[in-house]
Amino acid sequence: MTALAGCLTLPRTVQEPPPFPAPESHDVMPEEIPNDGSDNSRFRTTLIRVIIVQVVALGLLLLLQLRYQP
Amino acid sequence: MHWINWLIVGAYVAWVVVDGIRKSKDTDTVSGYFLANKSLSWWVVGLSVMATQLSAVTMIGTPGQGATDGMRFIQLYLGLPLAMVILGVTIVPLLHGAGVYTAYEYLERRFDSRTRSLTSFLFLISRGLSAGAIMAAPGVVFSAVFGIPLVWAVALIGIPTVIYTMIGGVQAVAWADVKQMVLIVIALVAIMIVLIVKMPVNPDEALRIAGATGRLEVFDFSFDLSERYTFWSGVIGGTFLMLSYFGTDQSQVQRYLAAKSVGQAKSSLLMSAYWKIPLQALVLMVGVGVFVYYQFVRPPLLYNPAQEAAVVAERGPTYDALQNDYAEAFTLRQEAAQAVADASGDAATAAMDVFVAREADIQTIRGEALAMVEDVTGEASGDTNYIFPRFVLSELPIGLAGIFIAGVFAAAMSSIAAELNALSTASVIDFYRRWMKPDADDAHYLAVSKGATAFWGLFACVVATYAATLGSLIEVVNRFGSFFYGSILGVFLLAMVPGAKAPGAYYGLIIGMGTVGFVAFGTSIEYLWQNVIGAVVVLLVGVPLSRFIGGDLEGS
Repeated sequence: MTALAGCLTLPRTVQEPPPFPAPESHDVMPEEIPNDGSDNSRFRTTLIRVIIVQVVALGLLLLLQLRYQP
Repeated sequence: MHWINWLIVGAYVAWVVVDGIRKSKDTDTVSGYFLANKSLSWWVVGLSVMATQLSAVTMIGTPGQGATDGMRFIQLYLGLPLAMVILGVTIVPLLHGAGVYTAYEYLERRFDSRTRSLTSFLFLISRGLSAGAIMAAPGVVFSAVFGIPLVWAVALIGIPTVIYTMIGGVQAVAWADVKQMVLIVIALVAIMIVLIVKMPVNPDEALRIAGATGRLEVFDFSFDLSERYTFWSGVIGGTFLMLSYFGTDQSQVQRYLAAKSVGQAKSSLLMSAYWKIPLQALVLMVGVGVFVYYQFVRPPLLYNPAQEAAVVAERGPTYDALQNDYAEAFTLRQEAAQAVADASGDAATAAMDVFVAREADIQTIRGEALAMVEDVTGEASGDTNYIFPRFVLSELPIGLAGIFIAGVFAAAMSSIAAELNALSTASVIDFYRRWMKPDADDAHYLAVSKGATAFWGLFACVVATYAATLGSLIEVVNRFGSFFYGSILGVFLLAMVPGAKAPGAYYGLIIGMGTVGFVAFGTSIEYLWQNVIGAVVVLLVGVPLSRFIGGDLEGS
């Protein structure tokens, strides 16, 4: 019941969360994700490869549909 | 079932359970039990991610979907590759670097404990229900094979799964998934080869027969919100569904949190990006192949042997008469199918029209039989989930049937294990440790975790006995998920919006869920779109609420 109440009402006292790197206050923006040029380049390469594989797979299925659907 | 098949099934299941228990070393800490001490390589995590999603529901329900409805179900996965790439550059590095056990732990740091608790609670409900649906699929197989009540069949799957999950933690779960994927792919490829070899017509003719009834219509480019599977619902709704499932569902998040590094976690998701659609196409095509095969080899009028036995007992003479009609109609349809295979040019169109009419006659007779089932048993009569198991057990050679059944068990056990492990993690970390007992030692939390695993195993078994009657199980799982996933995704998306505050997230989530509830029960909008609606509503509500209310409400 305590756990369920935790998500339905305001707690009267704030319990300290278990220790992990805690922010000084809530509503903290997410940490910056390191993003340099090599990451962007790698992302683009990966995206292109994924698109190629999916286009080939879906293209074959589309050909199947066009060939055999009345 | 032949004893060789039994031997294969028994040997494989025993290997999975024993090896899962052996993996329990290094699980005497919370970090080892839940995250494998972040020691898993990308390929183990990648195969585990794929295997967790490729459950017995896929093995049983999807071929049945292919046999009855064709290939268009694949549209649901169109958004998956894009979702994997997006997650690889956003949520994966965020969560892996945050040092959290659950995705919802992160939400407390970003917003507040209420948002974390509510989101985790919704996960527990949705994943608990889905675990039941996933357990129902092999239960269906078991009940068909042994002729035993579904309840016992579910227990035979659930109990060993709970045991090795409780003992082995995420290490056992991940390595069981690796074995499963290898076995599943081998079984599917072998079944497809057998289908091609045993088919009375060549592949081109078989595809023509399948195409005549629309089963090769892969893409529907219409924009109709009430149409279940379209290109647009797959690309848009499917992307949101996959973003939420792989990005915020603890059963998947826990996989890549256990990876050695962020780079390895990203690589593991890319495995799904590359291979999910081709693999799903294979599974659906097996179902289409079964449909064509059954044009030339007469299938049972009712695929569920328990339902058939009940009807025969109550309405024997009536059912016999229906069987005779069915046999005559089958002969006519068989001739029509052969005519489609043999025809060419203009004659092919006329032959297809005749075949479609004969197929409609068969479906009419099947409809009468299914109505009889409902009258006699008082239950919903859908038997889509029994089509493929009946085919496997009656048409596949000895040994291959055993491999397939073993694969179904392995698929079920590893997927259920992943669900149970995730449910236990969220229960302990997000609720027990957070609200009830924050200062206990690892040994205490481990004991509670094992108890939580057992509880959720029992919950899933109870849900499973009901879920089996809800129709195609692959659709049931995705319908359950789509009810919750969109709004949960919306909270994580809101977390990335500068200025978004805890009240916006919390009330946005509630209003998002309410909106999805209205759409699900009050409109004809199909379930894939619920993912989009939930996420968008949370953002549309959360952003302005954050601006006008703002602040941290805890302690005020």
